[in-house]
Amino acid sequence: MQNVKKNIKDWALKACELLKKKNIDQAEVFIVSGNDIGVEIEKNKISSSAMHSNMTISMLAFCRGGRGKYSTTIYNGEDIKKAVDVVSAIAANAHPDPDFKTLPFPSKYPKVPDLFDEKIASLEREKFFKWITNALEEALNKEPNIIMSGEISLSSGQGFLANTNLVAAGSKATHISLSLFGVLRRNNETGSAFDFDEARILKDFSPLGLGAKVAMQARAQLGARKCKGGKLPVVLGPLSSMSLFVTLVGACNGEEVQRKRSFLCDMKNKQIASEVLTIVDDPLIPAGLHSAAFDGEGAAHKKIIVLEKGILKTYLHNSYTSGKSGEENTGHATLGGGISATNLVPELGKRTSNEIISEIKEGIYIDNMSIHPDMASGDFSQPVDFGFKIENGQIAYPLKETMLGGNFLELLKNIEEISSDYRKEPGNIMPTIKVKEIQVSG
Amino acid sequence: MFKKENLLDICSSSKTDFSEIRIIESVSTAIQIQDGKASKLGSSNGLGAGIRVLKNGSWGFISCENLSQKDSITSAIKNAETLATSTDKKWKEKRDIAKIKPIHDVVSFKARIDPREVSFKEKMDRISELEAKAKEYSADIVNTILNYADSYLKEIIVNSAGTYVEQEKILTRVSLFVTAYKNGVRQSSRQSIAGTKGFEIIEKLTPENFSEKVSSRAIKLLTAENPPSGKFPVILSPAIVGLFTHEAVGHNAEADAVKGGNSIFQGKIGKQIASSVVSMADDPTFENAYGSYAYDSEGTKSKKTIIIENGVLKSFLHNLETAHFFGVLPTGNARADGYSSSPIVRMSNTYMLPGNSTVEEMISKVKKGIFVEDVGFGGYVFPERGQFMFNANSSYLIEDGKKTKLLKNVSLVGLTLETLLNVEEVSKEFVLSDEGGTCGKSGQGVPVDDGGPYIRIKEMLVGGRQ
Repeated sequence: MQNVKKNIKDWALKACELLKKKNIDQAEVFIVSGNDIGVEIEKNKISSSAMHSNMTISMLAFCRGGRGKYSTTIYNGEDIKKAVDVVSAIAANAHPDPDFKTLPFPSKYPKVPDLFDEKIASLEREKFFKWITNALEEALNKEPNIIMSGEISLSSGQGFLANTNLVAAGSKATHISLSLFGVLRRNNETGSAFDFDEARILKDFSPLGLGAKVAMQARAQLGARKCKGGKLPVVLGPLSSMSLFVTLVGACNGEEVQRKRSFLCDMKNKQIASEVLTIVDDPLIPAGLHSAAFDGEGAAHKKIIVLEKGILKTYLHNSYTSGKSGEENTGHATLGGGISATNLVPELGKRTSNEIISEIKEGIYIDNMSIHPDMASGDFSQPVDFGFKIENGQIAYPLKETMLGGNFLELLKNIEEISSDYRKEPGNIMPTIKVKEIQVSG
Repeated sequence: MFKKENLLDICSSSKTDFSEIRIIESVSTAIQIQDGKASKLGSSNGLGAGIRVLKNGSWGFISCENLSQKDSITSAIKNAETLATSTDKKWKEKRDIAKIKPIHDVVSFKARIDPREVSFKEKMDRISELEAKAKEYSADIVNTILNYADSYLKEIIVNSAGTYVEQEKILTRVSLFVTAYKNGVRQSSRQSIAGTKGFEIIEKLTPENFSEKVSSRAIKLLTAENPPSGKFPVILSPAIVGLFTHEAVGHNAEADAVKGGNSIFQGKIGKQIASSVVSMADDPTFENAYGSYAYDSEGTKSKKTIIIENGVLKSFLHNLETAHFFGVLPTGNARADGYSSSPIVRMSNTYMLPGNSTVEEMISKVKKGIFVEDVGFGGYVFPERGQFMFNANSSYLIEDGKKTKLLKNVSLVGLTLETLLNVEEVSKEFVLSDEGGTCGKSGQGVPVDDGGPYIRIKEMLVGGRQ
């Protein structure tokens, strides 16, 4: 357990003690305190600087499985007492839910290093500002007519989670990110691009070159042409492939599956994707963007295989969905009772993205686009954004007025290859993916 | 705790070009009923301040929650000043705001049924039937979720120009999401109702006009066909027209996007950008709509703004800063997502104005096209490119002037300016959706609504699986 401010820990534990005296079955308390600072740019100039601080308490109380939730800002111990009364009264009104079994019990938490960096928490403001102005300078050096907007932000905070089953866990976290958006207009055409860099610790933050990269990506979008439709091979670049993994693992959400809303219902242990696809969810990676020793309910985090050679191995659970299905709690609770994936790491292939593309006579490369299926049916139909035509093994030209249509499960089964090279954001591996064919309308 | 005179004194005595204090108090409740059980109830209370200063032509913003200390706000103003002046001058543009005529006003909000005076039990009893009837509609309905939320907001806006505005608002929203499944096919449907109203909003809802409508749509979609792909004439329903008006047009009319070089409307004021049958407005004074307010977050009185009139671009939407930049009056479109966000240019209730045709006349003129009915699972725009994509939950094929087959998962793709010029007919039927929604921009979400008439567009790119 990390050392957090004494008052946060004391208040959380005191709230749990008070909740035990109420006519409820179980309860959870989470107190968070943090600060963040951000600088925004608009049209190549700094537009504003902002700073926030907060201290919030959230409580969940359960009566015969029915859940009451209350959150408020706190200043002192009196506020805690009041919050305990309110949440207990709310829980008493909730309908019973026999599917709720229990909140987590205490367990040994793994050690996950580098989630908090004092160098970020105490970063000099001047250095922080310099990163965003350097990025602007880079972009303008590359493309003097580019219009840049974006933000650099830094946050540091600490929280303490306790429940009436005696879970008591503190954590501290830092985060820094730079995001940039560039727009380039030339001869009645517009090219635009977005990119980012983010990290939990300062040594992983490397924004150098990001401004130039965004400028070049925006320039690459100029000269867009239409292409002929048909069933074509599609290559998803690193950001598009990560988005595909997030959508896929999002459809494995235990709540969505149990409530019969997901296109992955009744698919556990079935082949849902091509054999080349293996995805691990790993919250224990040091300095990972989504790493933590425990989940939002205090269940110990662990590494799990979600998809192995295309077979769906598990759904993602919190304490509620695991209690309801009788399956193991995978430790994917978010604060407040939701479910979410952590760091996603796919198994890599043997050939580089360039080697994969070089063999495609005619196809499409998508640099940075999310495929948004209907989560009930898995159907998708959308335009190709930030896409390029591949001709004779090379990226030929940017695309416009081109659409993709299909079903997400069909797409997964059509994945032919995962690249050996990848983009890395702390804890997350983003390779290039080749899909055998997708219906393209031009 | 916060005396008017003290707050005005703090603002006027700060050594800045402009300073502003917004204090927001909120109380909200939420109920989720799923598969017959109202087993998730919630409530929250909030109190905090957003402090913004303009000093030496730069903005600094601080938000804080601990207002119990006597000097919390004065020290926040000092910190905001430090922030505003601490960035490198080379990368700054000297910013200023439009001249403010000070306003002193207190706007109270009286809902017919104040949700703070209705117990959880009463609320649950009243809305449970709506969820139950949706589930009972068919054995093929496999999941139903009804979400109810209300919130009371009290906002105090004070600035160094001498404005003091105190305003209250109550927002209530009910939404229903239904999933149907049969023979390996899964489809969903949703509907909501929202407004700046109290618990009386529920009186409009019956199992017939709400629950059964949503469930019946999901069931019908189980046997719906995939749409054809290609360019077709389309007729858009008021819900889809509202989505188009807000996303594709409204975001381009936000003056901060224009100023920032991210809008396709730059340099087009006074020019014909749409077919002459097209007029559009943003109106925060629309009675009881979800996006309505009396004053914006900078204390400017709200008013209706005509964005496009008979195809001509008439006005952008402004806050104090963009109004100064463009040399016009502020339109009352500065909005902030609570005390922790700085006010930026936002829409309120954005809609296309009605015309002279009827929807029947429009359908009769289409030989082969698509009638796009309900908003689906999403869509997005690239305002800087003037490009959009929307997804529709249910649509119909039009053949020889008649609505024929039900279609699912229709996606529409287009270029905003081209689409605006291709609008051929606008109906006299008009609906402000009253579904309400949350519009996201720069990490902030604010309540909005949209709507319009039925419109016929010469052709649009329709995406499908066929």
